[in-house]
Amino acid sequence: MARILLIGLAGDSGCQVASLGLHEALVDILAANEPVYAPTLLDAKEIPEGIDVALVEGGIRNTHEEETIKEIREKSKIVIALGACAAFGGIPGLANLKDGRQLMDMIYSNHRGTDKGTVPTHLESLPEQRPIKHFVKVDYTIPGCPPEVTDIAGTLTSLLSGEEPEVNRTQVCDDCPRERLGKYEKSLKRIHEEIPDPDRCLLEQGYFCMGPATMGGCGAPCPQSGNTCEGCRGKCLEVDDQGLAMIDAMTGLLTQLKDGFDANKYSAMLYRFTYAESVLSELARS
Amino acid sequence: MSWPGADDMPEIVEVDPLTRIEGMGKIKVEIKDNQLHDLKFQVTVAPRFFEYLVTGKRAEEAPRLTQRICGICYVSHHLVSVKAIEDAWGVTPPETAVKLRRLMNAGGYVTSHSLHSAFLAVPDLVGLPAESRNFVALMGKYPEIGKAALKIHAYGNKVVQATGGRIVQVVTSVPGGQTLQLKEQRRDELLEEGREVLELIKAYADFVFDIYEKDAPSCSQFPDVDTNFMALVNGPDGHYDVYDGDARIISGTGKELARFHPSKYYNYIQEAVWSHSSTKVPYYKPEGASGNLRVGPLARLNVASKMPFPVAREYEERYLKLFPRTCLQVQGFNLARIPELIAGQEEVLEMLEDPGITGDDIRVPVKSMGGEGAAFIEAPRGVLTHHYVIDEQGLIRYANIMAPTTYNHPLIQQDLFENAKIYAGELADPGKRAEACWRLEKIVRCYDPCTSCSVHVADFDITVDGGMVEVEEV
Repeated sequence: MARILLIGLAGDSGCQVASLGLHEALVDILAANEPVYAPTLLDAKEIPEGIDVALVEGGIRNTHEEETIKEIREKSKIVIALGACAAFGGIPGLANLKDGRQLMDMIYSNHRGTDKGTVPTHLESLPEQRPIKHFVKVDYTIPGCPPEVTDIAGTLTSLLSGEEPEVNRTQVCDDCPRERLGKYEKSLKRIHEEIPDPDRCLLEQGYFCMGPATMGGCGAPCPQSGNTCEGCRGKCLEVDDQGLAMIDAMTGLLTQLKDGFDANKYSAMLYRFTYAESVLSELARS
Repeated sequence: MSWPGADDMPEIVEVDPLTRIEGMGKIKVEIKDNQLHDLKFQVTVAPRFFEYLVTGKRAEEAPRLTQRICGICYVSHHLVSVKAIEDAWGVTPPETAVKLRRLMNAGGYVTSHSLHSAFLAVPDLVGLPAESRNFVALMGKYPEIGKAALKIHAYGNKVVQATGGRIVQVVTSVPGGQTLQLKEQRRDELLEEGREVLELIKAYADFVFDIYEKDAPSCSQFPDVDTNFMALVNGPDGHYDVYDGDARIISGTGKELARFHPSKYYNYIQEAVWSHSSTKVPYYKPEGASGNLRVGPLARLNVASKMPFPVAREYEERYLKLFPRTCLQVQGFNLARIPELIAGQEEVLEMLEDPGITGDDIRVPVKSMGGEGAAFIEAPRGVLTHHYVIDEQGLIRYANIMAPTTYNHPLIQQDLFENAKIYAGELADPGKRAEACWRLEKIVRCYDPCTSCSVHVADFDITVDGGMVEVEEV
């Protein structure tokens, strides 16, 4: 009977909703264990002592969240980063490309359709969105935006029976049934401008698919639904940086391009979920 | 310097964190001499600057980026985003694509409303002990209802997955149409299960309606708060439609104030910034910053003439007997969600029964170009707006997103305030406090606020006379 915590910080509750996707299995897990703190589902107001497994969704963007994650760490045996925001900063990490003060000006005092007002001054915002591992030790990561329900169930079941959860060593391409021929288009394409061949590798066709630089295990639902992989599961286990791994993977395509490649335009593609933990953002901070 | 004596200090009561809502928030009440001195409703989720982070990005990526504002109504963000880009580029997607989008949107309602009703709201209504007002306890007391709710929620997910490619964040809407065709076999499976699920939803609806009908006085347990309402309506009769149509604004007495096409919204709606708050609050322009607009299920059933689905219509009639138009009672929200859940399921079935739904004409190729466009959709929590300016290269240069919870935020505050005024004595009394705090939490839950959706962190303060004042630095 393990004591479980489930909480959302700077995120969108999607990981918790994905967990609900377990349906009966979730009810079984909750009933067989002791959920002690889960503000979305239960009314407990205090984070209790003696938590066995803490599932944390969302990154850290204000001092309230920073204090909360530190309190959870102190009171928990195992802390799991649930989803892309907790694990790598996630999409909100893209806002780290701009200084926090400038952002406030942009959104509050210089925005068409908004009354000219004073920028709020009382916010206890931190200058950047960071993954939780920046503040506390994280024991396990369940990647993805959202994480796969099978990963959530698998990790919980392993941990609750005292076993080590399995680590994924594949890339999304390993799950993707699209055919690769090793031949590339001569230009980068945009998904709405042409209709891609449904059976061939999207990257080889010139569409910016992050599959080669992204940890597998999801079953590649996005390329199978006719759109590119966005890289939501973060980098593969063996590489250091998702965007750089993608540029490596694109060598075949980049040497074919007739118009060259401007990496600046592709921040939201190369680092959609992992800018906050990227080598690039470390350089910008130093 | 003289400090007030300890006797003059107001007593502070906090509900922190608010539970069984989406995201993190709290209520702080100050009581002095058994009178309400101050009340703050505060969202503690950090701002995530989505309007900035889509700026400079390729327009076609916006539907996938902005849906991450919300893990519950991601379908609404995804769809309204693509509608806004198509408005900017003057693109009409093929008929099949529109049907697939309607199907996805309706599936989103089935998941979102069943989630809120069974997991967040109904545990308050069935006499569970204070320490176990939650879904697991609901399931223990009413196993059939609990199981039905799980099946309904799971079915909504299946519809979203079949049309959106996966659940919690979808991938299939691009300017010009959809990237995923619905195959006949999948349609047949969904249709067969969907008809059974409609029966489950009816049983679930009867369960919730019984609670309200047997306890009619509880339907007016909170003070009425007079506001304007805004919702989408479609057709000359102004009927209920959560995917497309005109925005209609009515006053608290039901008088029509405006009806306009979403692409002209900025003539009617403006956003206010307060130095003491970081939520931008949209208001009805002709009335100035006090021209509030309530949105969501209560607004839709107040504003739209009728639901165009036969079963939902029956339950809408039952609802209107308890909460006649124009309903100013926050309790209306929870029950209004039930006919809406049925309407969602009936729209799912209507789309699946349409032979055109499995067509392969799901996309037209579209050139990237400059332009400006805006669109509305009814997210489960209310009117959601995306507005973009796109440059010649097809990159976003300006984005404005107005989520339903930003409209409702000051009204949640006002509802809480009016209630706390009446129950100030109870809030001050340690023996009665738990019950009084529970009343406040129930008000917040009625709105089903989406604190992540409110995009910017919020911090409101209303004094006893109802005016806004500066929030103290903590």
